Amino acid sequence: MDHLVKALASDLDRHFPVLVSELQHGVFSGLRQLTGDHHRAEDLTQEAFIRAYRAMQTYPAERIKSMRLRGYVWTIALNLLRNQARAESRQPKPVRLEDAGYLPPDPPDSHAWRRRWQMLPTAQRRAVILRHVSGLSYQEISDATGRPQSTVRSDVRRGLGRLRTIIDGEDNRSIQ
Amino acid sequence: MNLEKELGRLLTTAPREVGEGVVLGTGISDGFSVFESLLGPVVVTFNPLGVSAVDLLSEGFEQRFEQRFQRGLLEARPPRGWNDLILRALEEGTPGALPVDLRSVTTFQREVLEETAAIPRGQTRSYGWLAHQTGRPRAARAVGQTMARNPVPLVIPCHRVVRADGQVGHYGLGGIHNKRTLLRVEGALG
Repeated sequence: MDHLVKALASDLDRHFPVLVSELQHGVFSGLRQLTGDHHRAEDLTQEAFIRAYRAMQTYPAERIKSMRLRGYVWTIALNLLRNQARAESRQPKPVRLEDAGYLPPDPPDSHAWRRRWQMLPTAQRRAVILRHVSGLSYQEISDATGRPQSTVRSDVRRGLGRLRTIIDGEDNRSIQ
Repeated sequence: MNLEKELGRLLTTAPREVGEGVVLGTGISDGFSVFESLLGPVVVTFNPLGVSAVDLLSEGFEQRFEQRFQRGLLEARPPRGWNDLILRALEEGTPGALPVDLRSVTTFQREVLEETAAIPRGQTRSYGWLAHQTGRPRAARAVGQTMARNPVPLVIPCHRVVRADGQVGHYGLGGIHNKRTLLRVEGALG
């Protein structure tokens, strides 16, 4: 990411698509799990990047050079998610392109995961998804959630523990 | 099961629409799709404000676009609902409900193009008539330049604007031969 912040600071328009292509899969997959909905995740991912771009357009190059990009984009994404939960109206509207006519397959065990995530407290759910689905560092999760790194670590640890218990419960049930 | 590994499997590829939507939504690039027209395949470019350009599908259209509009181009599907509007606009030779992005022209040129958009199929108008309509009767030459700058030929039917002496005059989209073809098909030329 270091090389990319320098490039973005020198020519935002030219390099922003590179930032999108590097981060979009993690952001989309994380939002896919957090929302449980393909289309919502798609819209939120788009909107987070568009907002990030508009904000960065107003930043001086020095500020861009010191940015931690992944945490920054996720800060916006989580804010959108919170605000969207409160009100459905949101600006700017995502650009909805003509449908390709097919939906890509859901990630594995979508149904089971949706139920599992619902059984976790929000902070743990976020921390586990950001860490283990989207691949953020503890520092980046701390940036994005505003929680201290030590708290994030314990959120992840507890979240994983809880998930193991939930999944063990499922296995026992399926054996009976 | 290995939980961390299972979680890792939930990392999937973002759909193509995400990246395309971001690049279009930020205005960094316009999108383009290829459509059929009477003049053969044409490239139609678009952004959230509307259709921004129409050009013949030929070598170097991307460079021509970048040079004129100072933005990049990215092949993408049009915004939802626009596909049919574009097809109809190309077929009927008028924007109809299709939004058109005219940021690339001056205020005067925009007025001229808006008047041009209203010329019915099967009819023609002269450069002088358009100049008169926009309140600058002596600006026939500027009207001619505006037609040459029309970013969306076929959609805004500049081919229906001809010389007062009856000659068809210039045409930017592949030359005078194409202008004659269009007018003949529309029944405006014997």
